Amino acid sequence: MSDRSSADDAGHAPSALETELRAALHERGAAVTTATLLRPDPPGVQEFLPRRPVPRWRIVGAVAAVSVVILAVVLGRGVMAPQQVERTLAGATTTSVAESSFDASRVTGRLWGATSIVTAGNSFSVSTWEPTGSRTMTVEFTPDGTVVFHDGNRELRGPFTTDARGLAVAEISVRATSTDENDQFAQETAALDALLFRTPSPGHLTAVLAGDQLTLEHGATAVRYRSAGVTPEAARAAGAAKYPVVAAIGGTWRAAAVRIGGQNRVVSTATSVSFELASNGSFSANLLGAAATGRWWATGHGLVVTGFSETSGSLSPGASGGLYAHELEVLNGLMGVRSALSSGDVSVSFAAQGAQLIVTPTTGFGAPVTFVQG
Amino acid sequence: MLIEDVGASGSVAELFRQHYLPLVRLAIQLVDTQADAEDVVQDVFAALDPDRISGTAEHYLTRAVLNRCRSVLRRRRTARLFHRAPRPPDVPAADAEVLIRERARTIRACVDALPTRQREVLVLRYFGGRSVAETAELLGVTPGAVTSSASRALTALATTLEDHDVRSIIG
Repeated sequence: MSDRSSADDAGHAPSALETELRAALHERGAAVTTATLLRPDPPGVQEFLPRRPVPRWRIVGAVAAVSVVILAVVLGRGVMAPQQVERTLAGATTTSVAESSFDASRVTGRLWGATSIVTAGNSFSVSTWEPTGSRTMTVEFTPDGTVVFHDGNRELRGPFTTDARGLAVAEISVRATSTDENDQFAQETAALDALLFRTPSPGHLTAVLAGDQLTLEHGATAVRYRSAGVTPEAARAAGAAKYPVVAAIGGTWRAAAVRIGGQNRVVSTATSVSFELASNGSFSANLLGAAATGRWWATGHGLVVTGFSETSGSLSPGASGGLYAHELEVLNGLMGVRSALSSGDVSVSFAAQGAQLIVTPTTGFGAPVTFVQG
Repeated sequence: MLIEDVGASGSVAELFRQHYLPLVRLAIQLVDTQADAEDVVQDVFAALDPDRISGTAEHYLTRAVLNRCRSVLRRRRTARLFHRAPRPPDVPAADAEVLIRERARTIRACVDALPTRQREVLVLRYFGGRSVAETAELLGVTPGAVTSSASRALTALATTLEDHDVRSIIG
């Protein structure tokens, strides 16, 4: 950037204040160097993917909800005394807070003054792109109200609840899954140690969710997590020469969206659909509680799965219990895919698009389902 | 899948290498902390669609970073309204006292206290080295507005520094 500021534009020499100001700002800028950057390398491709636009129905729904509330308050003022209005509003606030407390599969926390939602099953991770390889630690919120931290070597568990400041995690228990004390890595480990392992009383953590970032704070220490993504190293590791396609899609995937009527509908994590493509060619899936296995291989058009057979469980109407209205539509699409898969000799094509995987029954029966890695 | 494997994303990776550090340096002038500055720039690249870049990439990215910085500042204001948990004071490191000149720190503190628009103008003009016209275009305002904002900011800065000097002498 060339310096075309003060003097050129104003036609006069910069004042002493302007000179001092420029020097002070450049001093702060110069303090940031490549060496001090948290992440000097480009992130993985998943973080470069364009984000899915907010569905129009959500925007319309939100506007409608706000309008109804405003209308109710305005109308309420006309027929109720001020004290009644106050009580009504107070009651509404109380209800809102009550709803924000833990609810089996869905947790709504009032974080940073705005209502954010942490859906059980969400996982966040701290990823490093070290020259020695990618290492990841994740924090996962399970449907039974437990938060699990794991880094491959150690695992911490504890119940979580919500309070006015966010999520509270207490009674953390530590379970080491590796005894290798030397297997320490990255500064995140040290931060997590400070945050959890070395705290005499793990007690109260504050979790702040902002966008795809989760920040856990304990006193003056904080660890930032980002949504789990595909790292270049993970893709390389999964991309064995025998199965090059796995480089793009290897790993376990969970349903993210189903395309119905030309529109993508987001699948709630409460809708448990996942599958795994193993490097030995086996395919296993869990569709709404029903487990099944098959074989997969790569073709010019993507992957094909055949010999799909159900191994346990069954899909019943009860499986839709607890799902929201729009998720019932999603469920219909998933059932279509599942039916195609379950018929045994019907192939299903898989097409990787960036970090997403589109599963389409080749019979045309059922709707395409989009999976994301996670 | 690697970013280099994807056509458009490959150019994103190149843009990242070229502009990440300068943009973090710009962002830190507006959001104070390096962590926030890095997140701002990271988010810009995460949401970047190379096909939608209009004009030069540097110009486009700078505008995107400015917008993200404003969002961060807005969110921070909202957070402070509701989140009253005590935070450790922002105490500089021991060597910072020696390394950083008191005067420069005072100036930066004054800049940080300015209204967002005035702060953006000063940073773009005196850190980014942008002309009045470029600053106006980046901020989406008229050149006259840039000039008046800069003038008001410098006046406020001078007044604050003068007060500070007086307090230093008295104190």
